[in-house]
Amino acid sequence: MKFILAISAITFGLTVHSQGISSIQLDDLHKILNQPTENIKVVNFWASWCGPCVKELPAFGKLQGYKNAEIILVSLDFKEEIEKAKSTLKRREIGFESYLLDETNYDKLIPSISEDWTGAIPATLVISNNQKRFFYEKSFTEPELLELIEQHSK
Amino acid sequence: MKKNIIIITGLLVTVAVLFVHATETLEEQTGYAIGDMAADFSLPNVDGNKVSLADYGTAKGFIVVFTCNTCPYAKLYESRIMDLDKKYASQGFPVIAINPNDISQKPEDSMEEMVKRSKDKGYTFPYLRDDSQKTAMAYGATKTPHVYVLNKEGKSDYRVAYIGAIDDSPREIADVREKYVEDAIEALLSGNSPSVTEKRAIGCTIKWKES
Repeated sequence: MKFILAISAITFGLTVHSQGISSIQLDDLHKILNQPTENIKVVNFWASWCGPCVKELPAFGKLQGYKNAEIILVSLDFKEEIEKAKSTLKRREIGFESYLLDETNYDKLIPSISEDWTGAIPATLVISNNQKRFFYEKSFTEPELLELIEQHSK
Repeated sequence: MKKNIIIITGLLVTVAVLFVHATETLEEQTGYAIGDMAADFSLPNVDGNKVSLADYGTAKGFIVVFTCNTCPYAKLYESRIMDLDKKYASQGFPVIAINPNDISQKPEDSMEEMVKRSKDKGYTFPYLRDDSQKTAMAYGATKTPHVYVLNKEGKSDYRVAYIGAIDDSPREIADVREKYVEDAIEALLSGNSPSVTEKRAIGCTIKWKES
């Protein structure tokens, strides 16, 4: 047990950890997305420079855990600007752990998430509990997001 | 009676399914794919005149860029868009920049602000306002910046030869390894088809008018 704790402490120390946002590699993000769970995952791609993304963040923040949905926020801010992403979330009182994707090969990143993604953000990927994927290149209002979660958590 | 209701419900469901399916197919078909012929347009330029592709009698093709004043990614690429025009306008591939953003959502994308920006920065290419957003929709542009390289065939046929990103490094010009748009134009200039025809990049969603 002590050994496991030590290992997790080391791993934890190694990830660039910045109060709520950790920098993540594309492969590791895919591992998280592919992890089978009983609940749906709602993965939102955003950036602090993207107006419509920031506007819809509170809705995602509010609906974390609704119908057991797991909301995963993935910032596409540049790694050098992780502080901006951090303060954007803080100002919107989003306290749960989220990620900043450390991948600048966009032509690899974008189709790996969805063939339907042209690259515009905001973009949201829903993974149902039977691992089916649904992709949306659009903004969501809070009622729309609520409906989305209800629709896919059946 | 019960039977009729079931039949009618069945029919309604079928119609609904067909309808949903039809709209989905329609949505998928909007916008150009590689090899499609692009339609010409006539849009107001920052100099007060209207600009069409047909105005460029001697052009061999075009670098049509959907861009804007406000998107950070568009700003990151602004100097590179200017460089593309400086390098390729004289070789027959001028840049035509088009701003499709709804100004009620982005007042800084108004014609007045476009005039200011193009003057301040010294744009050497037209910067057009697509108020109706019909051109952006016809092309299938979704974000800024979003590039379409057109190859002119005959007098007025504009075949889509490349769609997507300008290069592979938005933030640091020094880290650019692949210049997608330049490579496509170099191929066309030497009479070949571009080997890379589509590359995706992150960008700001075009601010569509709320209907």
